[in-house]
Amino acid sequence: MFIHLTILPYDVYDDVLRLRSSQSGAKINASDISDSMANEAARRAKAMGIKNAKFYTSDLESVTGKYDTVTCVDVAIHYPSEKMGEMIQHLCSISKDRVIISFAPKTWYYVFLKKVGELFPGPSKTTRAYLHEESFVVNELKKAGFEIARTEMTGTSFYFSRLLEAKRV
Amino acid sequence: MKTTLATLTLTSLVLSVQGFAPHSPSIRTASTAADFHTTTRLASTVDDKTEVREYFNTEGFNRWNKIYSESDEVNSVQLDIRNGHDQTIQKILNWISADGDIKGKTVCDCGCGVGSLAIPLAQMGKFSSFVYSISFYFIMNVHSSYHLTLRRV
Repeated sequence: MFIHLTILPYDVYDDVLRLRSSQSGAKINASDISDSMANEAARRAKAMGIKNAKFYTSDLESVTGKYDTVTCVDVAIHYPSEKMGEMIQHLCSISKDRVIISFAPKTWYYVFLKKVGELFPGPSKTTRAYLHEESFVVNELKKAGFEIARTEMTGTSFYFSRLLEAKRV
Repeated sequence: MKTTLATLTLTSLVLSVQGFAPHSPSIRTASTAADFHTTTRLASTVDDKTEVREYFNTEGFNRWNKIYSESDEVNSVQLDIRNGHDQTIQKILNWISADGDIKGKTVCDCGCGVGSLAIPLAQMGKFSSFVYSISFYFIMNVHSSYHLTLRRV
């Protein structure tokens, strides 16, 4: 591109304009259960001149439509186990090709950490953080016709997140 | 020394769980023995959702808006969570960019929070247009300098 432009600066002017107009990026539909969060996201996006993302308030179950990729990152920690399967099924139902989901994995170590945390009473103590069995999540994805493509695990001292990418078979 | 370390670790653990999820001691009530299992379960689900919504509209919003930003008003645990979350986001962006151009694709981000994934995703396809514009202006400058040089010669 660089060399081409250098040699033919006038001829490529139209090309550059055409490229610019076609590079509109992906179309992002983003929602959050919290009005404050969705508004803040919209504010940040606007401040950055982003026009190809729509932000609105909605709980996950009410999101409709069909999308190439559906992402749900660090949200599952708020879902109790008995609602998790239903939630995954919904994500899959609105996805044409791919679902990317993260969750705190239910391993003995993290269960232990959570238990230790619960032993301590405090004014700002948390109660509802749900860990999920990986096999359960994978199984729900499979049930919906998806199979695991790539996986990642991120663990710092206080943050644990298993990341799965599932593609429609 | 060992005791101090242990105490520190335990304190951190409490803080860590605190960082993760909403809390609302007032909403949490012990269920009585007379409760039917299903009723309790349903109530707990409704509570969870309401609780999460309320938390992230108020106290949780203030807390997490700071965590998911460049604000200095975070403690070391929150900073650690910010770093962890950033790593997850980066891994997703890496996957998507490894697949090639995302332009023209539709993405639905459920539970977008302050947009920490949705915003960089929206920018992804746009990045190349930015590069093109920059190269264009840069090249035009090179071109005019070329003319200037010629003229001078």
